[in-house]
Amino acid sequence: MGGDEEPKRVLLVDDEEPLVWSLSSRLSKARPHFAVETAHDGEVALRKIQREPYDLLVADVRMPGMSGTELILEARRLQPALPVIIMTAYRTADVQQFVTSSATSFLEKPFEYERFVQLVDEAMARPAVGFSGAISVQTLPDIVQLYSLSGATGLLQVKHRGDVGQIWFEQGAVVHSSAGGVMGEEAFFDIMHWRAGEFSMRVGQAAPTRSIKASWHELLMESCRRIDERQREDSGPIRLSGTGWTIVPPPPSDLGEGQDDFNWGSSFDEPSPEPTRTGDESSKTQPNIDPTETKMNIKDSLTKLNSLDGFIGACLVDSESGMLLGQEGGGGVNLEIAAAGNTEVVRAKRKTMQNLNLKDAIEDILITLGKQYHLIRPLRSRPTLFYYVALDRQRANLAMARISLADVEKDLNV
Amino acid sequence: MFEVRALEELAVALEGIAILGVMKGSPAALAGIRFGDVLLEVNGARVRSWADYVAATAEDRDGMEAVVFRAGEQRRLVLDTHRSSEAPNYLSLAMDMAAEGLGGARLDDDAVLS
Repeated sequence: MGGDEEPKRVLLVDDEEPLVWSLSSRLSKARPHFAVETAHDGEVALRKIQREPYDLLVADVRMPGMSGTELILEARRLQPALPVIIMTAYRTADVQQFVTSSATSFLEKPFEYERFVQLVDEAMARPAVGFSGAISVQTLPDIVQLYSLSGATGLLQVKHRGDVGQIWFEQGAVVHSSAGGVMGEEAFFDIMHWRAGEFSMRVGQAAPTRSIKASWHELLMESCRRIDERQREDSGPIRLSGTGWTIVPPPPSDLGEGQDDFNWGSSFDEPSPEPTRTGDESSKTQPNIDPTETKMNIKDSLTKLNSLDGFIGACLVDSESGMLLGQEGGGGVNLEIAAAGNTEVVRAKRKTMQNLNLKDAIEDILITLGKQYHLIRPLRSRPTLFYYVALDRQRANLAMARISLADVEKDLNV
Repeated sequence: MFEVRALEELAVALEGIAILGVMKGSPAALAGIRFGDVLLEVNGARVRSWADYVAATAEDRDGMEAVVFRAGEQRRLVLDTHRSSEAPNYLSLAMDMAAEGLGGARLDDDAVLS
């Protein structure tokens, strides 16, 4: 990832102003590609972190007002993977709580300047954690989608009970996977069924071999289809949201080493027992569309969307003729805005949107309301025909919904 | 009262497509198509599925001939549609649907949603 292009942002925090000034000016000279900023107390530092993320936080422990440890805890809430160097004369109990964190180094005062630079360099050299902060991921397909969309290269390790699954990305493409002695797409699909656990990304780690050719999009659609299938086979519906995935930062400096040294974090919740596998899935190794599905009727197609988390309603519209050709869900598409009856707002918005006059091909459109998501997906072959899906925001899994909708649309795109 | 479920069953039995609503002022509404109709033919082709419908309306032409089943008989209707290469304004359509309650709770046996 192009880390050299953007300056690395370092925040130095200590109430000893001469020390901060000296460290800052020497570090800026020694590492001109660093953007070094300073603060003399925890509150100011925290406000800076709230405004913009940093690549490294160097903090003293004892400061008036907010202590260094409080600052680090707050900063990690905002940026869970933020590397931290703690400057302290004493390793007290409150400092010890950070010992287990892999992204934390200690610099015991008094220290040599060279030792300081060395620790800064080490912290910066750590592979970046792919995601941190505000992104909330709920299912493994979400996680895979995020890494694919970001064009990541590296190894995603997933731990579920005693099993470890591995998925290698190359510039966003899924190129290899292995789990429980199985390789390739089958391993990938097996991993996608895991519903809770821990994952960790080793950015930059190259795949030892290539066992997957399908695009990540196809892989995820096939995964969702299989998850769906299994849901239908099981007696009760399995909620995909509410599963507990925990991001584990990669260990500090072991790029390219073995896998046994992986540093797994805290335990995870598993909401309900893993469903037993009943169907024979080996017959479907390729994410191909079943030819019989292309002939499915509208009702069947919309029924596929019914199992989405937070599903409220879906319909199929031909805007050219003005016919509603299919509908699923009791309430139909009943926009909140209709309840509000605010036609003035509607009129104003419509005018704005017509003025926008978007020309690009639209894959799908998301309308976010207070309590609902509305997804519109036109047929690629005919944009006047489109699906309209309403979901409950609290329960919906948008990534999954988009993938399922794309899947349904693909089924019908003969 | 014509239930959605009953309509869908009828559509399955007739191997057609259930019309679950029409947009206010649309060619379908103006041609008299309404909730409860079952679409059997479009532009001379039998439509049993969504794929059939897509194929039957693929031709780049204005106007649509539709055969619908209503109250025990077949009716041939002509819709004054206009083919455009431009994508519709989905957001505006969504707003229309919101305002008119298309697909909402207002569907009943004589519900031409206008």
